Amino acid sequence: MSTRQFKPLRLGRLLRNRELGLTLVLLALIGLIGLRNPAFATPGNLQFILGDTSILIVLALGMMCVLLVGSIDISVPAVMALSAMTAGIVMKNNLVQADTQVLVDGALTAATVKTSTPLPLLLLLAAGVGAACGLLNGLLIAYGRVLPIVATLGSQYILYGLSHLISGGQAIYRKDMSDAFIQFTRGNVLGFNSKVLIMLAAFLVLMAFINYTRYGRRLYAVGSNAEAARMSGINTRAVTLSAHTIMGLLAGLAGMLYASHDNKVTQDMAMGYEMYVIAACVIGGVSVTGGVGKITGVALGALTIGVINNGLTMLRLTGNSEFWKKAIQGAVILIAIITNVYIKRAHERRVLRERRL
Amino acid sequence: MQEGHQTAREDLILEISHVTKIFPGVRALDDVGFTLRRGEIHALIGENGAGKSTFIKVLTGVHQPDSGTILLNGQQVRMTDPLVARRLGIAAIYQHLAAYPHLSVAENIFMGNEQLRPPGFISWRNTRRRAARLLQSLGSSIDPAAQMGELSVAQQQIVEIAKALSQDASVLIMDEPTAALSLTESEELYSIVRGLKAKGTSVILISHRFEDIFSLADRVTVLRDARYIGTWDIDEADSALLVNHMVGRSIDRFFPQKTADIGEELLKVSGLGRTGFFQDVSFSLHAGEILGLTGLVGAGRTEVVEAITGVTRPDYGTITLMGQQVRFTRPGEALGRGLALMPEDRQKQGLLLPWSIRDNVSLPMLDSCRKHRLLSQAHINRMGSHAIEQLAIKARSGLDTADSLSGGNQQKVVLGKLLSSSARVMVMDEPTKGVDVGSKAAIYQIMCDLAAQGFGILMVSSEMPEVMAMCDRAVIMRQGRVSTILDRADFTPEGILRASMPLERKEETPA
Amino acid sequence: MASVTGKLPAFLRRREWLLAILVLLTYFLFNAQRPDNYTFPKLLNQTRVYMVDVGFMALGMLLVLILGDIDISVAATAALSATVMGVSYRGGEGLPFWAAVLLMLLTGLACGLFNGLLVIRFKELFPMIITLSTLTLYRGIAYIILKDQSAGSFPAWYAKDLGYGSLPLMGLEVPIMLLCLLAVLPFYYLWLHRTASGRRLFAAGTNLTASRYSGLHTDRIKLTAFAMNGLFAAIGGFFLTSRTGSVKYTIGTGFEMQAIAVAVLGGASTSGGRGSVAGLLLALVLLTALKNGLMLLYNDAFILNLSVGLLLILVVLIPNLFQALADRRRILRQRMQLAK
Repeated sequence: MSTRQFKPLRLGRLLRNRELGLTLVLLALIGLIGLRNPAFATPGNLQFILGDTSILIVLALGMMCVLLVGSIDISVPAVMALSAMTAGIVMKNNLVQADTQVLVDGALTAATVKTSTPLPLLLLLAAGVGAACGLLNGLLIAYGRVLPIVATLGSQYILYGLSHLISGGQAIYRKDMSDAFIQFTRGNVLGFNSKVLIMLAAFLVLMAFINYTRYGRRLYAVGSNAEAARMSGINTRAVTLSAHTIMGLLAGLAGMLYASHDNKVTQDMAMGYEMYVIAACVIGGVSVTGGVGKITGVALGALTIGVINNGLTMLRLTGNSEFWKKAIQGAVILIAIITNVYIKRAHERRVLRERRL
Repeated sequence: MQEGHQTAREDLILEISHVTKIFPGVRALDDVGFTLRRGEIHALIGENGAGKSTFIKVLTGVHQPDSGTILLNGQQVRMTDPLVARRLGIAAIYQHLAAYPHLSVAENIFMGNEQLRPPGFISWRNTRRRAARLLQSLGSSIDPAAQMGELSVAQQQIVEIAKALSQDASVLIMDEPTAALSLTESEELYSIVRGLKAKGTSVILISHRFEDIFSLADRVTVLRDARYIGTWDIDEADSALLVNHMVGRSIDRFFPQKTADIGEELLKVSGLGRTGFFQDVSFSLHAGEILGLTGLVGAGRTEVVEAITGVTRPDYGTITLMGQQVRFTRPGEALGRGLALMPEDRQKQGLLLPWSIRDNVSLPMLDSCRKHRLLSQAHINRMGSHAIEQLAIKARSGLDTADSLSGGNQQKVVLGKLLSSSARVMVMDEPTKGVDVGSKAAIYQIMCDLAAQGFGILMVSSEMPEVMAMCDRAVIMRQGRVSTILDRADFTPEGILRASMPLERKEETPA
Repeated sequence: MASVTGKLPAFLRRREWLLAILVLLTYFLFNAQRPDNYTFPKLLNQTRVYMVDVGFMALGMLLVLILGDIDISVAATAALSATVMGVSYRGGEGLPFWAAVLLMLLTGLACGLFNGLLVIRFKELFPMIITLSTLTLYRGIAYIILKDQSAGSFPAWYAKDLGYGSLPLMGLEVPIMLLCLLAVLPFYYLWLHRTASGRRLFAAGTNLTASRYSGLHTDRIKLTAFAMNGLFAAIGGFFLTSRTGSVKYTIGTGFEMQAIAVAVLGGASTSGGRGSVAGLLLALVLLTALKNGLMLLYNDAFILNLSVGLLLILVVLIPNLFQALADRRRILRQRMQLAK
């Protein structure tokens, strides 16, 4: 075969490279919004966006695992709420306030220091609660044969209800939080916000898991052809179960980030957030029928949503209103998804035209 | 029979005795025995539902037998799950391809048998390299990085063989490997299988095609109704004997005598084309005629009939149906104008499997089942029983669900559905694919009857004997174009094969 | 493999019976707890709160679920429609009320049509994803129209008589709203279960490809189902507003999940091809009885939702488990026979 014949083939593969396309779209978006408001495209703001989107990325990584096996989880925000609430209550109950004096502008000033259960323990607790919720979802779906949408719709109700029950109707506010927790998402390590660092850690671990371990590849196998996977000895139920557990664990973690970021945990925390998570995956190229999706694509998809989100604020198109933003966001996500379809179709047509008869 | 061939125990790689497998409500295998010699190709045949698939799944550890023993190299083994079977050197290539369409060829080959490097991570470089080497050893130039779903069926089959080879299988089970392959592709597969045999691999070959069996197998075993019927050396078996044992009775005339007279032109297609699939396709179909549309798989036959019947839309050309130029946007329109399509995949395209026979049959004609604007159950019942009677569908009543029927009877229900409409032109895409011998004969008879009633029938088929025995003329396609149209008098296997063969043969890498 | 029917009493596998038993159980349980406050007449009166608006939305949702699709934007559609009605009526200063109501229904229809068009035009996407985005879109538009304000001052017959009025029937005070829902049901039932177009809807949901090959106009069937869903959502919004007396953009938040829950409880499956009107009605009654009782005992919306979620999962899960158990027992029995 001559090299000339090979060229269009390579080009085709490059064009189909979704991550590249998304990066271009992302850059174009940043450029366009930056033209309207120069403050947008500054490194500072971009870093802010990255921090702001970290929670979404963490969740989208988990959702990707679930979508890969051909399942879905819409109970994500409820898992976040329950995990954050559990950890929040533990934190509140163990809170110790001490009056000390701290040095402010060269003078000693009276201040209150709030300490509680060590932060890592709280994170572990939240992640554990989240993983347990995910495990439960997974059991219902994989072993109880309940359809994923129904199962997680039901568990969304249940988990929100539980977080209300354990809180006794009391939300957790800033006054109930330890200093360490309040500072958790505001601190910088090596110039990066800790949200970004946690996101990066989750990203790298999951990337290694999904791309370089046999257990990770099984997520793809089950979603691509469950029957074949079963016949080659893969325990498809266990794989589905673990995907949901990973999702739950990450949701628990994200719940803590969300709580620290907002300085409060309410019973209806993050309600409706699942939509952004799923949209991030879809924009990032994950197929809702399973078997298709790349981890870099998902991160880029989430970033695209983050940029749109922040851009809408920066453009002041929407004033200060959350809902204006949401209305436009719904439209933008719809347009993004539809554009994506058209690009795919155009590519398919091109392939057909190039096919020799 | 078995006793006639005393084989020394040590010559047997696999010895299965008294295996029974039970599913809720059915005995899928009933006291089945089977032996496989070292380096032999052993054909396993039987009608659909005879227990072949279950037999393989028991051998590969997908199912565990409820009783009976399996001896591998004289040792009793218990295949508790597919991984155990694989470790023991038993590999299977399943009928419905067990591939992961979204993953690469290399990953497909090594799924479950990953190429790891020290800390336990997958080494993609080794994976690709070893995959390329395996494929080369099979004489194929498939790109290991290509996506599995974009390969042709034949190429996927080769990848599956490479997968089995990668596991160093000593026993290879092939379930209907040629079902979706053209003659040439089958020939290539035969030579690969013979090569494996020469290297000492033992092969269990399951096939509906007698050509496969007679050109490859050393021995043949027949299963019927989940029971073992017998084993014969290939030289002492002939197709009549095997068919008799498979069906349990003798079939006098497999292909019926066609008596219909050719009438006026019903369908005329000229210059039809669809970008990327086929172009410049022209032919005509007359009343009382059975017109074959044949060629290799992938030549564009199904795409042509789909474009004619409105499943897809052609990009150029004209279609004339009973004197009027038509262009359909969906199959319903075509059906309304008397052009019916019996699709290739009866389970996915032809039937609502959980629905009853009568509900399936009445579906296209629901509007005619109305009384005072509401559906009349009596009318629907009548339609169901009419179809059962007319087509001799084996069922207790019209209330039996479609998924409880055998393949052949399912196909008859699809036919009944189309006959309930007022169609005059019947397009049948692989009407006997995956259908047992008995039902095949019945379907052929129905086709002849329809032709005698003045129907025009366009039959897409890959089976050479079927085309030669049934068709008045045959349109032969290659690479998306009509290569020739032959009259019945000019039918020869060589002629049809020559017209089907691509002009320049080379294996194409997927774009 | 033959379809399996185990030893489990056949009637338990009919969802309708299971629901009927649950309804009775719920009623007697709460009635025992609160004999004064939890009575049939009071329950009947509460149907206006728990049954009618969600009921109409569930009627629409059932059509979409039978197709094997899902529509998460129904509550947003209801909110947008109600907003359009409130704003165009403008407390009596705008359009006449009948015109405002007509406009509302048209809005609902338009939202449903838009969803349906997207669904049939972009088959690569999933209704779940599409309606997730139109959900924010519709509610966002409602917000843009109404801002933080609320629109109200509706005619007395609407806000009072329809919202809170009842008719004496056989010695019981039956809410007018409930009568409206009950009046629609027979027609809906006949259409869905006894006509050709209803049958085609089930066919399309059972196997879309085979239905298309069988000559059904599958795109039109989908479009119709989504459009009707939009219309039913608007009707649900209409009754919801008559009960609340005014419209805010947040009206009916979370009702989409309730509508789905009702339809699924009633026997519909998100994988399509199944659904029954009788089941849906029983599920509505069950939820009404349950919610009312829980409200009396705990007066807490979260506990209410928790039990709805639990109920939803159990009603789907339990038959599955029974089936698995029955299968296992059957095999064991056959194995024993084999041993003999």
